[in-house]
Amino acid sequence: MADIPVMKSKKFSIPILKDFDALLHCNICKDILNVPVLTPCNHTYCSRCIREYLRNCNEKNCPLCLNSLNESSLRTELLLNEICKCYKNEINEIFLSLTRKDITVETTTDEVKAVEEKKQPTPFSIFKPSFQKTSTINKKTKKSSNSIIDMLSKKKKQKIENDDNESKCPICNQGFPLKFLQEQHIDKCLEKTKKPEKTEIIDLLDDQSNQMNSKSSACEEVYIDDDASITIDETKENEYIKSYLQSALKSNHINDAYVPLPKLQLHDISTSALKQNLSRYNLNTQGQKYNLIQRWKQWDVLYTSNFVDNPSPKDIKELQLELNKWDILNNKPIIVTSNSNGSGSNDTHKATDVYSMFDHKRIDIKDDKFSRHQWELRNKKHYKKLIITAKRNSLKQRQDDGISVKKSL
Amino acid sequence: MSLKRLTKELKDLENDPPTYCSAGPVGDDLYHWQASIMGPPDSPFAGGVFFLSITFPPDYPFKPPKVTFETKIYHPNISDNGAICLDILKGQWSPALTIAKVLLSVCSLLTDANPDDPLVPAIANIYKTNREQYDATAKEWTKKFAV
Repeated sequence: MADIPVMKSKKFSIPILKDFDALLHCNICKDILNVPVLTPCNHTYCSRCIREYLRNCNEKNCPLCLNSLNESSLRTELLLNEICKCYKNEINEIFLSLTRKDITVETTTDEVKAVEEKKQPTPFSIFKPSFQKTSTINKKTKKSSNSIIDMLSKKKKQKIENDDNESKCPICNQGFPLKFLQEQHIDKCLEKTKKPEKTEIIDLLDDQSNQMNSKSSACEEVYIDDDASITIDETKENEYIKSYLQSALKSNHINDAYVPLPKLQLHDISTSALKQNLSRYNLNTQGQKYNLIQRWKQWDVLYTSNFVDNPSPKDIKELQLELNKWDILNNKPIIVTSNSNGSGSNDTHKATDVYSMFDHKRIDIKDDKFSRHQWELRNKKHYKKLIITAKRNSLKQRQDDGISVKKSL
Repeated sequence: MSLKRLTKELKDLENDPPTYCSAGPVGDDLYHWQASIMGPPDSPFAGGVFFLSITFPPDYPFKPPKVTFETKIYHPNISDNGAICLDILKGQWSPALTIAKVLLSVCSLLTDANPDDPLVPAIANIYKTNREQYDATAKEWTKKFAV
Protein backbone atom coordinates (compact mmCIF):
# COMPACT_ATOMS: atom_id res chain seq x y z
CA MET A 1 0.00 0.00 0.00
CA ALA A 2 2.66 2.44 1.09
CA ASP A 3 5.00 0.77 -1.27
CA ILE A 4 6.63 2.81 -3.96
CA PRO A 5 7.67 1.01 -7.12
CA VAL A 6 10.94 2.90 -7.46
CA MET A 7 11.78 1.92 -3.92
CA LYS A 8 12.50 -1.59 -5.14
CA SER A 9 14.40 -0.56 -8.21
CA LYS A 10 18.14 -0.67 -8.33
CA LYS A 11 18.28 3.05 -8.98
CA PHE A 12 17.38 3.82 -5.39
CA SER A 13 19.91 6.30 -4.14
CA ILE A 14 20.59 4.59 -0.79
CA PRO A 15 20.91 0.86 -1.44
CA ILE A 16 20.83 0.10 2.27
CA LEU A 17 17.24 1.36 2.43
CA LYS A 18 16.22 -1.43 0.08
CA ASP A 19 17.33 -3.93 2.71
CA PHE A 20 15.68 -1.95 5.45
CA ASP A 21 12.48 -1.88 3.46
CA ALA A 22 12.59 -5.63 2.84
CA LEU A 23 13.23 -6.36 6.53
CA LEU A 24 10.11 -4.48 7.58
CA HIS A 25 7.88 -6.57 5.33
CA CYS A 26 5.81 -9.51 6.53
CA ASN A 27 6.84 -12.78 4.92
CA ILE A 28 3.25 -13.89 4.47
CA CYS A 29 1.43 -10.91 2.99
CA LYS A 30 4.65 -9.25 1.72
CA ASP A 31 3.31 -5.92 2.96
CA ILE A 32 4.80 -3.70 5.66
CA LEU A 33 4.28 -5.42 9.02
CA ASN A 34 0.93 -4.60 10.58
CA VAL A 35 0.87 -5.31 14.35
CA PRO A 36 3.96 -7.54 14.30
CA VAL A 37 4.16 -10.59 16.54
CA LEU A 38 7.23 -12.63 17.43
CA THR A 39 7.32 -16.42 17.35
CA PRO A 40 9.37 -18.52 19.82
CA CYS A 41 11.78 -19.17 16.91
CA ASN A 42 12.34 -15.40 16.65
CA HIS A 43 10.54 -14.76 13.39
CA THR A 44 8.13 -11.89 12.94
CA TYR A 45 4.85 -11.72 11.02
CA CYS A 46 1.73 -9.60 10.98
CA SER A 47 -0.52 -10.79 13.75
CA ARG A 48 -3.40 -11.37 11.35
CA CYS A 49 -1.35 -13.19 8.74
CA ILE A 50 0.21 -15.72 11.09
CA ARG A 51 -3.04 -16.34 12.98
CA GLU A 52 -4.98 -16.85 9.76
CA TYR A 53 -2.25 -19.16 8.52
CA LEU A 54 -2.12 -21.25 11.68
CA ARG A 55 -5.91 -21.67 11.63
CA ASN A 56 -6.10 -22.61 7.98
CA CYS A 57 -3.30 -25.14 7.83
CA ASN A 58 -3.14 -28.63 9.21
CA GLU A 59 0.52 -28.45 10.10
CA LYS A 60 1.21 -25.66 12.52
CA ASN A 61 4.71 -24.57 11.54
CA CYS A 62 6.60 -21.32 11.35
CA PRO A 63 6.55 -20.41 7.63
CA LEU A 64 10.22 -19.46 7.67
CA CYS A 65 11.94 -22.19 9.70
CA LEU A 66 9.18 -24.86 9.80
CA ASN A 67 9.53 -25.27 13.57
CA SER A 68 6.26 -26.17 15.25
CA LEU A 69 4.34 -23.13 16.36
CA ASN A 70 1.33 -22.51 18.60
CA GLU A 71 -0.89 -19.48 18.41
CA SER A 72 -0.64 -19.02 22.15
CA SER A 73 3.13 -18.58 22.00
CA LEU A 74 3.00 -15.46 19.81
CA ARG A 75 4.25 -12.30 21.50
CA THR A 76 3.64 -8.69 20.52
CA GLU A 77 6.62 -6.58 19.52
CA LEU A 78 5.89 -3.11 20.79
CA LEU A 79 8.97 -1.36 19.47
CA LEU A 80 8.74 -2.92 16.03
CA ASN A 81 5.08 -2.01 15.93
CA GLU A 82 5.96 1.67 16.31
CA ILE A 83 8.86 1.41 13.88
CA CYS A 84 6.60 -0.07 11.22
CA LYS A 85 3.83 2.42 11.86
CA CYS A 86 6.33 5.23 11.61
CA TYR A 87 7.87 3.82 8.46
CA LYS A 88 4.51 3.20 6.82
CA ASN A 89 3.33 6.72 7.52
CA GLU A 90 6.53 8.48 6.58
CA ILE A 91 7.71 6.36 3.67
CA ASN A 92 6.19 8.63 1.07
CA GLU A 93 7.79 11.62 2.62
CA ILE A 94 11.16 9.94 2.97
CA PHE A 95 11.01 8.97 -0.64
CA LEU A 96 9.87 12.39 -1.80
CA SER A 97 12.63 14.04 0.18
CA LEU A 98 15.18 11.73 -1.35
CA THR A 99 14.01 12.34 -4.89
CA ARG A 100 13.93 16.05 -4.23
CA LYS A 101 17.47 15.77 -3.03
CA ASP A 102 18.39 13.91 -6.19
CA ILE A 103 17.16 16.83 -8.25
CA THR A 104 19.21 19.29 -6.24
CA VAL A 105 22.26 17.10 -6.58
CA GLU A 106 21.91 17.24 -10.30
CA THR A 107 21.92 21.01 -10.24
CA THR A 108 25.06 21.22 -8.14
CA THR A 109 28.47 21.23 -9.70
CA ASP A 110 30.13 18.18 -11.11
CA GLU A 111 32.79 18.55 -8.49
CA VAL A 112 30.39 17.51 -5.76
CA LYS A 113 29.49 14.41 -7.72
CA ALA A 114 33.12 13.55 -8.22
CA VAL A 115 33.79 13.88 -4.50
CA GLU A 116 30.76 11.74 -3.76
CA GLU A 117 31.99 8.98 -5.95
CA LYS A 118 35.48 8.96 -4.55
CA LYS A 119 34.50 8.92 -0.90
CA GLN A 120 33.48 5.72 0.74
CA PRO A 121 30.01 5.73 2.20
CA THR A 122 30.00 6.79 5.83
CA PRO A 123 27.47 5.21 8.15
CA PHE A 124 25.02 8.05 8.50
CA SER A 125 23.43 6.80 11.68
CA ILE A 126 25.86 8.76 13.79
CA PHE A 127 24.99 12.00 12.10
CA LYS A 128 22.34 14.03 13.81
CA PRO A 129 20.34 16.13 11.39
CA SER A 130 21.63 19.55 10.58
CA PHE A 131 18.98 22.08 9.82
CA GLN A 132 20.93 24.46 7.70
CA LYS A 133 19.19 26.28 4.93
CA THR A 134 20.21 25.41 1.44
CA SER A 135 19.35 27.79 -1.29
CA THR A 136 18.00 25.04 -3.51
CA ILE A 137 15.39 23.87 -1.02
CA ASN A 138 12.66 26.35 -0.28
CA LYS A 139 11.18 26.76 3.14
CA LYS A 140 8.07 24.76 2.40
CA THR A 141 9.93 21.64 1.42
CA LYS A 142 12.22 22.07 4.31
CA LYS A 143 9.40 22.04 6.82
CA SER A 144 8.06 18.78 5.56
CA SER A 145 11.41 17.26 4.88
CA ASN A 146 12.48 14.23 6.84
CA SER A 147 15.63 14.07 8.90
CA ILE A 148 17.19 11.67 6.41
CA ILE A 149 17.37 14.33 3.75
CA ASP A 150 19.09 16.59 6.24
CA MET A 151 21.47 13.83 7.11
CA LEU A 152 22.23 13.43 3.46
CA SER A 153 22.79 17.09 2.84
CA LYS A 154 25.01 17.07 5.89
CA LYS A 155 26.90 14.10 4.52
CA LYS A 156 27.52 15.81 1.23
CA LYS A 157 28.65 18.98 2.90
CA GLN A 158 30.93 17.03 5.14
CA LYS A 159 32.58 15.39 2.21
CA ILE A 160 33.40 18.66 0.57
CA GLU A 161 34.71 20.09 3.77
CA ASN A 162 36.79 17.02 4.45
CA ASP A 163 38.92 17.99 1.51
CA ASP A 164 39.89 21.23 3.24
CA ASN A 165 40.85 19.24 6.34
CA GLU A 166 38.14 20.90 8.34
CA SER A 167 34.90 19.22 9.32
CA LYS A 168 31.74 20.06 11.10
CA CYS A 169 30.85 18.16 14.21
CA PRO A 170 27.79 16.08 13.37
CA ILE A 171 26.34 16.78 16.80
CA CYS A 172 26.90 20.44 17.52
CA ASN A 173 27.49 21.68 13.98
CA GLN A 174 30.67 23.61 14.81
CA GLY A 175 33.62 23.44 12.47
CA PHE A 176 36.89 21.90 13.67
CA PRO A 177 40.07 20.54 12.13
CA LEU A 178 39.38 16.91 11.25
CA LYS A 179 41.98 15.44 13.60
CA PHE A 180 40.78 17.37 16.60
CA LEU A 181 37.21 16.53 15.81
CA GLN A 182 37.82 12.81 15.55
CA GLU A 183 40.09 12.45 18.53
CA GLN A 184 38.55 14.74 21.10
CA HIS A 185 35.54 16.77 20.18
CA ILE A 186 33.06 14.05 19.17
CA ASP A 187 33.47 12.17 22.42
CA LYS A 188 32.82 15.30 24.43
CA CYS A 189 29.83 16.19 22.35
CA LEU A 190 28.36 12.71 22.65
CA GLU A 191 28.67 12.80 26.43
CA LYS A 192 26.84 16.08 26.49
CA THR A 193 23.91 14.71 24.52
CA LYS A 194 23.57 11.57 26.60
CA LYS A 195 22.62 13.37 29.79
CA PRO A 196 19.50 15.19 28.61
CA GLU A 197 18.25 12.00 26.93
CA LYS A 198 18.17 10.18 30.24
CA THR A 199 16.11 12.81 31.99
CA GLU A 200 13.96 13.00 28.93
CA ILE A 201 12.75 9.42 29.27
CA ILE A 202 12.00 9.81 32.97
CA ASP A 203 10.05 12.96 32.21
CA LEU A 204 8.11 11.13 29.57
CA LEU A 205 7.03 8.48 32.00
CA ASP A 206 6.36 10.87 34.86
CA ASP A 207 4.46 13.58 33.17
CA GLN A 208 3.50 13.82 29.55
CA SER A 209 2.83 17.53 29.41
CA ASN A 210 6.20 18.22 30.93
CA GLN A 211 7.82 15.97 28.38
CA MET A 212 7.60 18.31 25.41
CA ASN A 213 9.39 21.06 27.26
CA SER A 214 12.23 18.90 28.44
CA LYS A 215 12.65 17.49 24.96
CA SER A 216 12.85 20.87 23.31
CA SER A 217 15.28 22.09 25.93
CA ALA A 218 17.40 19.05 25.25
CA CYS A 219 17.30 19.93 21.60
CA GLU A 220 18.48 23.43 22.26
CA GLU A 221 21.55 22.04 23.88
CA VAL A 222 22.29 19.84 20.93
CA TYR A 223 21.46 22.05 17.98
CA ILE A 224 22.53 25.59 18.39
CA ASP A 225 21.26 26.78 15.04
CA ASP A 226 17.69 25.58 15.60
CA ASP A 227 14.73 27.43 14.19
CA ALA A 228 10.96 26.93 14.34
CA SER A 229 10.74 24.23 11.68
CA ILE A 230 12.73 21.84 13.81
CA THR A 231 10.22 21.74 16.61
CA ILE A 232 7.67 20.55 14.08
CA ASP A 233 9.89 17.67 13.09
CA GLU A 234 10.67 16.87 16.69
CA THR A 235 7.03 16.67 17.75
CA LYS A 236 6.38 14.37 14.84
CA GLU A 237 9.12 12.06 16.04
CA ASN A 238 7.70 12.25 19.52
CA GLU A 239 4.40 10.78 18.44
CA TYR A 240 5.88 7.34 17.98
CA ILE A 241 8.07 7.47 21.06
CA LYS A 242 5.12 8.53 23.14
CA SER A 243 2.92 5.86 21.68
CA TYR A 244 5.65 3.28 22.31
CA LEU A 245 6.08 4.19 25.94
CA GLN A 246 2.36 4.34 26.53
CA SER A 247 1.72 1.03 24.85
CA ALA A 248 4.35 -0.54 27.08
CA LEU A 249 2.40 0.62 30.12
CA LYS A 250 -0.92 -0.46 28.65
CA SER A 251 0.17 -3.89 27.52
CA ASN A 252 -0.11 -5.23 31.08
CA HIS A 253 -3.80 -4.49 31.08
CA ILE A 254 -4.71 -5.75 27.64
CA ASN A 255 -5.56 -9.22 28.83
CA ASP A 256 -7.85 -7.95 31.57
CA ALA A 257 -10.13 -6.09 29.18
CA TYR A 258 -10.10 -8.80 26.54
CA VAL A 259 -13.01 -11.24 26.52
CA PRO A 260 -12.22 -14.10 24.15
CA LEU A 261 -14.80 -15.12 21.56
CA PRO A 262 -16.78 -18.27 22.41
CA LYS A 263 -15.21 -21.40 20.95
CA LEU A 264 -17.62 -22.79 18.38
CA GLN A 265 -17.54 -26.33 17.02
CA LEU A 266 -17.76 -25.13 13.45
CA HIS A 267 -18.08 -28.54 11.80
CA ASP A 268 -21.32 -29.51 13.54
CA ILE A 269 -22.87 -26.22 14.59
CA SER A 270 -26.45 -25.41 13.59
CA THR A 271 -27.11 -22.40 11.35
CA SER A 272 -29.30 -20.72 13.94
CA ALA A 273 -26.64 -21.00 16.66
CA LEU A 274 -24.12 -19.55 14.25
CA LYS A 275 -26.43 -16.65 13.44
CA GLN A 276 -27.02 -16.05 17.13
CA ASN A 277 -23.33 -15.79 17.78
CA LEU A 278 -22.78 -13.48 14.81
CA SER A 279 -25.59 -11.16 15.85
CA ARG A 280 -24.12 -10.93 19.34
CA TYR A 281 -21.33 -8.91 17.75
CA ASN A 282 -23.70 -7.05 15.39
CA LEU A 283 -22.39 -8.92 12.38
CA ASN A 284 -24.13 -9.68 9.13
CA THR A 285 -26.14 -12.94 9.30
CA GLN A 286 -26.94 -13.12 5.59
CA GLY A 287 -25.73 -15.82 3.27
CA GLN A 288 -25.41 -19.58 3.28
CA LYS A 289 -24.04 -21.61 6.16
CA TYR A 290 -20.66 -21.79 4.45
CA ASN A 291 -20.53 -17.97 4.28
CA LEU A 292 -21.51 -17.69 7.93
CA ILE A 293 -18.71 -20.05 8.97
CA GLN A 294 -16.16 -18.17 6.90
CA ARG A 295 -17.39 -14.89 8.36
CA TRP A 296 -17.07 -16.19 11.91
CA LYS A 297 -13.57 -17.53 11.24
CA GLN A 298 -12.43 -14.19 9.83
CA TRP A 299 -14.06 -12.34 12.71
CA ASP A 300 -12.20 -14.55 15.17
CA VAL A 301 -8.88 -13.66 13.50
CA LEU A 302 -9.65 -9.93 13.38
CA TYR A 303 -10.93 -9.90 16.95
CA THR A 304 -8.09 -11.87 18.51
CA SER A 305 -5.42 -10.04 16.56
CA ASN A 306 -6.87 -6.68 17.54
CA PHE A 307 -7.47 -7.29 21.23
CA VAL A 308 -4.58 -9.62 22.02
CA ASP A 309 -1.76 -8.32 19.84
CA ASN A 310 -2.48 -4.71 19.01
CA PRO A 311 -1.05 -2.45 21.72
CA SER A 312 -3.51 0.26 20.71
CA PRO A 313 -6.60 -1.78 19.80
CA LYS A 314 -9.13 -0.36 17.39
CA ASP A 315 -12.76 0.17 18.32
CA ILE A 316 -15.00 -2.83 17.76
CA LYS A 317 -17.06 -0.80 15.28
CA GLU A 318 -14.01 -0.29 13.12
CA LEU A 319 -13.44 -4.04 13.16
CA GLN A 320 -17.03 -4.65 12.06
CA LEU A 321 -16.50 -2.32 9.13
CA GLU A 322 -13.33 -4.17 8.22
CA LEU A 323 -15.15 -7.48 8.33
CA ASN A 324 -17.88 -6.08 6.08
CA LYS A 325 -15.26 -5.01 3.58
CA TRP A 326 -13.67 -8.45 3.67
CA ASP A 327 -17.13 -10.00 3.24
CA ILE A 328 -17.87 -8.05 0.10
CA LEU A 329 -14.52 -8.91 -1.46
CA ASN A 330 -14.11 -12.54 -0.42
CA ASN A 331 -17.31 -14.06 0.86
CA LYS A 332 -19.99 -13.81 -1.82
CA PRO A 333 -22.74 -16.45 -1.74
CA ILE A 334 -21.97 -19.40 -3.97
CA ILE A 335 -24.12 -19.61 -7.06
CA VAL A 336 -24.35 -23.23 -8.12
CA THR A 337 -24.70 -23.29 -11.87
CA SER A 338 -26.79 -26.05 -13.38
CA ASN A 339 -24.14 -27.22 -15.84
CA SER A 340 -21.28 -27.40 -13.35
CA ASN A 341 -19.49 -30.71 -13.33
CA GLY A 342 -18.70 -32.63 -10.19
CA SER A 343 -15.07 -31.70 -9.74
CA GLY A 344 -15.62 -28.04 -10.57
CA SER A 345 -18.33 -27.37 -8.01
CA ASN A 346 -16.06 -28.48 -5.20
CA ASP A 347 -13.48 -25.91 -6.14
CA THR A 348 -15.94 -23.07 -6.55
CA HIS A 349 -17.14 -23.79 -3.05
CA LYS A 350 -14.07 -22.00 -1.83
CA ALA A 351 -14.04 -19.41 -4.56
CA THR A 352 -13.68 -15.75 -3.84
CA ASP A 353 -15.51 -13.28 -5.98
CA VAL A 354 -12.53 -12.08 -7.97
CA TYR A 355 -11.36 -15.64 -8.32
CA SER A 356 -14.64 -16.88 -9.77
CA MET A 357 -14.77 -13.99 -12.22
CA PHE A 358 -12.40 -15.88 -14.50
CA ASP A 359 -13.75 -19.35 -13.81
CA HIS A 360 -15.17 -19.83 -17.28
CA LYS A 361 -11.79 -19.06 -18.85
CA ARG A 362 -9.82 -21.37 -16.61
CA ILE A 363 -8.76 -24.79 -17.83
CA ASP A 364 -7.97 -27.54 -15.38
CA ILE A 365 -4.33 -28.24 -16.13
CA LYS A 366 -4.40 -31.44 -14.07
CA ASP A 367 -7.23 -32.79 -16.21
CA ASP A 368 -6.35 -35.72 -18.48
CA LYS A 369 -8.26 -34.16 -21.37
CA PHE A 370 -6.03 -31.11 -21.19
CA SER A 371 -4.38 -30.56 -24.53
CA ARG A 372 -0.87 -29.25 -24.41
CA HIS A 373 -0.78 -28.28 -28.05
CA GLN A 374 -4.00 -26.27 -27.92
CA TRP A 375 -2.78 -24.53 -24.84
CA GLU A 376 0.46 -23.54 -26.52
CA LEU A 377 -1.38 -22.21 -29.56
CA ARG A 378 -3.77 -20.22 -27.42
CA ASN A 379 -1.03 -18.56 -25.42
CA LYS A 380 1.59 -18.17 -28.12
CA LYS A 381 1.82 -14.42 -27.67
CA HIS A 382 2.36 -14.65 -23.94
CA TYR A 383 5.03 -17.26 -24.30
CA LYS A 384 6.87 -15.21 -26.90
CA LYS A 385 7.08 -12.34 -24.47
CA LEU A 386 8.24 -14.65 -21.70
CA ILE A 387 10.97 -16.14 -23.86
CA ILE A 388 12.30 -12.70 -24.69
CA THR A 389 12.42 -11.71 -21.01
CA ALA A 390 14.03 -14.96 -19.94
CA LYS A 391 16.66 -14.75 -22.67
CA ARG A 392 17.43 -11.16 -21.78
CA ASN A 393 17.79 -12.07 -18.10
CA SER A 394 20.12 -14.96 -18.72
CA LEU A 395 22.25 -12.89 -21.06
CA LYS A 396 22.53 -10.19 -18.45
CA GLN A 397 23.44 -12.76 -15.83
CA ARG A 398 26.16 -14.17 -18.04
CA GLN A 399 27.56 -10.71 -18.63
CA ASP A 400 27.50 -9.97 -14.93
CA ASP A 401 29.25 -13.26 -14.23
CA GLY A 402 31.85 -12.41 -16.85
CA ILE A 403 32.58 -9.10 -15.17
CA SER A 404 32.90 -10.64 -11.72
CA VAL A 405 35.20 -13.35 -13.04
CA LYS A 406 37.42 -10.72 -14.62
CA LYS A 407 37.46 -8.77 -11.39
CA SER A 408 38.45 -11.77 -9.33
CA LEU A 409 41.31 -12.52 -11.71
CA MET B 1 -5.21 -11.20 0.84
CA SER B 2 -4.44 -13.45 -2.15
CA LEU B 3 -5.07 -10.79 -4.78
CA LYS B 4 -2.99 -8.18 -3.00
CA ARG B 5 -0.12 -10.55 -2.57
CA LEU B 6 -0.20 -11.73 -6.19
CA THR B 7 -0.08 -8.12 -7.35
CA LYS B 8 2.93 -7.58 -5.12
CA GLU B 9 4.70 -10.67 -6.42
CA LEU B 10 4.12 -9.57 -9.99
CA LYS B 11 5.57 -6.15 -9.23
CA ASP B 12 8.59 -7.72 -7.56
CA LEU B 13 9.14 -10.01 -10.52
CA GLU B 14 9.17 -7.02 -12.84
CA ASN B 15 11.57 -5.05 -10.68
CA ASP B 16 13.90 -7.87 -9.80
CA PRO B 17 13.50 -10.68 -12.34
CA PRO B 18 15.08 -14.04 -11.45
CA THR B 19 17.70 -15.41 -13.80
CA TYR B 20 16.72 -18.08 -16.32
CA CYS B 21 13.00 -17.66 -15.53
CA SER B 22 10.16 -15.33 -16.30
CA ALA B 23 6.52 -15.40 -15.28
CA GLY B 24 3.35 -13.41 -15.67
CA PRO B 25 -0.43 -13.70 -15.56
CA VAL B 26 -2.50 -14.95 -18.47
CA GLY B 27 -4.51 -11.94 -19.59
CA ASP B 28 -6.34 -10.24 -16.73
CA ASP B 29 -6.64 -13.31 -14.54
CA LEU B 30 -4.18 -12.84 -11.69
CA TYR B 31 -4.84 -16.38 -10.44
CA HIS B 32 -3.54 -17.97 -13.58
CA TRP B 33 0.05 -17.41 -14.65
CA GLN B 34 2.44 -18.91 -17.07
CA ALA B 35 6.16 -19.07 -16.81
CA SER B 36 9.17 -19.98 -18.90
CA ILE B 37 12.41 -21.52 -17.72
CA MET B 38 15.60 -21.58 -19.75
CA GLY B 39 17.40 -24.90 -19.41
CA PRO B 40 20.28 -24.33 -16.96
CA PRO B 41 23.66 -24.25 -18.79
CA ASP B 42 25.18 -27.00 -16.60
CA SER B 43 22.37 -29.45 -17.35
CA PRO B 44 21.40 -31.58 -20.36
CA PHE B 45 18.47 -29.18 -20.83
CA ALA B 46 20.75 -26.27 -21.80
CA GLY B 47 19.51 -24.35 -24.81
CA GLY B 48 15.88 -25.34 -24.33
CA VAL B 49 13.02 -23.16 -23.23
CA PHE B 50 10.42 -24.87 -21.05
CA PHE B 51 6.94 -23.55 -20.49
CA LEU B 52 5.00 -23.96 -17.29
CA SER B 53 1.51 -23.04 -16.27
CA ILE B 54 0.70 -21.95 -12.75
CA THR B 55 -2.69 -21.72 -11.04
CA PHE B 56 -3.05 -20.13 -7.65
CA PRO B 57 -5.74 -21.31 -5.22
CA PRO B 58 -8.08 -18.62 -3.85
CA ASP B 59 -6.53 -19.05 -0.41
CA TYR B 60 -2.99 -18.47 -1.67
CA PRO B 61 -0.45 -18.05 0.01
CA PHE B 62 -1.84 -20.42 2.65
CA LYS B 63 -2.07 -23.15 0.03
CA PRO B 64 0.61 -23.86 -2.59
CA PRO B 65 0.19 -22.92 -6.27
CA LYS B 66 -0.28 -25.70 -8.83
CA VAL B 67 2.67 -25.75 -11.21
CA THR B 68 2.93 -28.01 -14.27
CA PHE B 69 5.26 -28.29 -17.24
CA GLU B 70 3.67 -27.59 -20.61
CA THR B 71 6.75 -28.61 -22.55
CA LYS B 72 7.68 -32.28 -22.66
CA ILE B 73 10.81 -32.98 -20.66
CA TYR B 74 12.88 -36.07 -19.86
CA HIS B 75 13.30 -35.92 -16.12
CA PRO B 76 12.83 -38.46 -13.27
CA ASN B 77 10.74 -36.01 -11.20
CA ILE B 78 8.51 -34.67 -13.97
CA SER B 79 5.77 -36.91 -15.29
CA ASP B 80 4.58 -37.32 -18.85
CA ASN B 81 1.64 -34.96 -18.28
CA GLY B 82 3.86 -32.31 -16.76
CA ALA B 83 3.27 -32.89 -13.04
CA ILE B 84 6.27 -31.94 -10.91
CA CYS B 85 7.36 -33.89 -7.86
CA LEU B 86 8.74 -31.15 -5.66
CA ASP B 87 8.34 -31.10 -1.87
CA ILE B 88 7.69 -27.36 -1.63
CA LEU B 89 4.73 -27.71 -3.99
CA LYS B 90 3.15 -30.23 -1.64
CA GLY B 91 3.69 -30.79 2.06
CA GLN B 92 6.69 -28.52 2.46
CA TRP B 93 4.92 -25.43 1.13
CA SER B 94 5.27 -22.31 3.25
CA PRO B 95 3.52 -18.97 2.74
CA ALA B 96 6.93 -17.31 2.98
CA LEU B 97 7.78 -18.80 -0.42
CA THR B 98 7.07 -16.85 -3.58
CA ILE B 99 6.53 -17.96 -7.15
CA ALA B 100 10.02 -16.68 -7.98
CA LYS B 101 11.48 -19.03 -5.38
CA VAL B 102 9.39 -21.91 -6.65
CA LEU B 103 10.67 -21.34 -10.20
CA LEU B 104 14.24 -21.24 -8.93
CA SER B 105 13.67 -24.54 -7.16
CA VAL B 106 12.31 -26.04 -10.37
CA CYS B 107 15.43 -24.73 -12.11
CA SER B 108 17.70 -26.43 -9.61
CA LEU B 109 15.62 -29.60 -9.90
CA LEU B 110 16.52 -29.61 -13.59
CA THR B 111 20.23 -29.54 -12.75
CA ASP B 112 20.03 -31.91 -9.79
CA ALA B 113 17.29 -34.50 -10.16
CA ASN B 114 16.11 -36.43 -7.15
CA PRO B 115 16.08 -40.08 -8.33
CA ASP B 116 15.25 -41.40 -4.83
CA ASP B 117 11.76 -39.90 -4.95
CA PRO B 118 10.88 -40.39 -8.62
CA LEU B 119 7.68 -39.71 -10.50
CA VAL B 120 8.92 -41.72 -13.46
CA PRO B 121 10.78 -44.74 -12.01
CA ALA B 122 12.10 -45.83 -15.43
CA ILE B 123 13.95 -42.54 -15.96
CA ALA B 124 15.16 -42.56 -12.35
CA ASN B 125 16.61 -46.01 -12.89
CA ILE B 126 18.56 -44.89 -15.95
CA TYR B 127 19.64 -41.74 -14.13
CA LYS B 128 21.14 -43.86 -11.36
CA THR B 129 22.67 -46.63 -13.42
CA ASN B 130 23.65 -45.02 -16.71
CA ARG B 131 24.10 -41.28 -16.36
CA GLU B 132 25.54 -40.87 -19.85
CA GLN B 133 22.50 -42.39 -21.48
CA TYR B 134 20.23 -40.20 -19.35
CA ASP B 135 22.09 -37.08 -20.42
CA ALA B 136 21.95 -38.08 -24.06
CA THR B 137 18.19 -38.78 -24.02
CA ALA B 138 17.48 -35.60 -22.08
CA LYS B 139 19.47 -33.60 -24.66
CA GLU B 140 17.62 -35.28 -27.48
CA TRP B 141 14.21 -34.51 -25.95
CA THR B 142 15.23 -30.93 -25.31
CA LYS B 143 16.21 -30.53 -28.96
CA LYS B 144 13.00 -32.16 -30.11
CA PHE B 145 10.47 -30.41 -27.87
CA ALA B 146 12.02 -27.33 -26.32
CA VAL B 147 14.08 -25.56 -28.96
